[in-house]
Amino acid sequence: MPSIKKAILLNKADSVATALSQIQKGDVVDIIYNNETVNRLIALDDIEIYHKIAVVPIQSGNNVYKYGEVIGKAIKSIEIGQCVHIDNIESVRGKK
Amino acid sequence: MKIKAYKRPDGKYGIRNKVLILPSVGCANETTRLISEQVQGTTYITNPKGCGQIGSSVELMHRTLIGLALNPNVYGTIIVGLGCETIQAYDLYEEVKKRSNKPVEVISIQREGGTLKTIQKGIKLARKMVEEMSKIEREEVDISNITLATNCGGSDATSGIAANPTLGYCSDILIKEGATVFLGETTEFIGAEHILARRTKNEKVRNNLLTIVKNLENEFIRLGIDVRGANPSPGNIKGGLSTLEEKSLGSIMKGGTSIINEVVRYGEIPKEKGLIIMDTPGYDIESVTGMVAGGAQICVFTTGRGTPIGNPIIPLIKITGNKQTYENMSDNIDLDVSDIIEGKKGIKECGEMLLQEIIDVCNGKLTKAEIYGFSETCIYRNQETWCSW
Repeated sequence: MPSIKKAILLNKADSVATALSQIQKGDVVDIIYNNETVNRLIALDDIEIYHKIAVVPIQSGNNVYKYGEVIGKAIKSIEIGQCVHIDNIESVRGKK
Repeated sequence: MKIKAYKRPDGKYGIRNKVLILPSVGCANETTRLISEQVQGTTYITNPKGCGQIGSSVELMHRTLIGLALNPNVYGTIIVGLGCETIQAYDLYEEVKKRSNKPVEVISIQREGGTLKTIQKGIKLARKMVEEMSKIEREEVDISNITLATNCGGSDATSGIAANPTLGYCSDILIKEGATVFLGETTEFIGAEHILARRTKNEKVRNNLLTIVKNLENEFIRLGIDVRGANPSPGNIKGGLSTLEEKSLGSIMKGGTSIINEVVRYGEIPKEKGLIIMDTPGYDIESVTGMVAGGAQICVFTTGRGTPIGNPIIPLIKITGNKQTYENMSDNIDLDVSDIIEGKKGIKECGEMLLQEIIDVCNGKLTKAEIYGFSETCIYRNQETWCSW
């Protein structure tokens, strides 16, 4: 049985949580908000410590939320449990 | 809240006592260094230019050099010029004297007749100034006399969750005590400026804030630069930050939640107290140097990836929320607040720990960067001088 990992959610409205340890594909991940487990999901990718995991599905072109704010938009569709990083999201600001 | 500090003739208080050897131009850098290296109690900065500059670039350089000499941690200054440069050493001398009444001397390499004579005279002047400086003692004063510089560098995903909110907690407390806090790094307002704009004192401050952010963003767009590469940098990306907005939203937490009273230019001394926005570049060493010129006596520097940097005029307290980084670079980083990420401690608890560290460092405790003698400086240039590419 794979070990249970943790990721923290910074705002209830967020679409991503931050991994608190190295996560391997197939790991069970508890999503922690205010020191309580609010969700449990399966990692679909390997995720580095402090990198992001999707807690909701995100359509390509849609905003991605962390801290309850927009941190960019998805450039691919992202499923729950996928790693969220520069391969699938990008900045909206600072460019045309 | 009280600290022990050195009183200056202009009514300000320093938490360090240093004689600054200040080159008005890059051509005087090595002469400056040799004078400083011979006289304990002095410090020096390197000047990246001071000549071949025009327009607002001259104004920025002039303002910053004056600001460094006026910094409360500086007891007195010896200005070293070449003679033919744009930024005239004698002009700096007159202005520092007029604005602070602090000890100030000026020497010029061309006028003295070469390096050896300049060094000889510089060492004599510096030795005498250090001797006078050594006689003054710390006195108890209110912490409201402090201006705190905040900066983050080598950020990662822990910065916005642990180290920056911890610093933000201290920023709020210090401001309530009547002190001043600088929040800078304009690149890292992009995508988070709406949060700052809600906290501005009035329409003018709001407009100034939104203007510096918009001008910078427009400049990126005009130049067709992909800001990714610098923001987030390769290290930021490796540390889990994916976008500029994500970095910005974490970065602005350093300033806490107070009302923003003023927006100042790079190296400018604010008129107001409380939370002040300084328009500085995202490059750490330039940003901190600007805040030192603006009058900060101390800096808290948050990091995710780790950094060794210091400053010749003010102490930098370095803190991280990344446990691995602290363990990896504990000889460079003063404080570990990774317990926040692990859920073992709250932001308030770590904030109180940082506040105590700030007070201790104000009272004379040396930071790790100070003990190593690390003294990075870089004065920002808003224009480069000329060639075709």
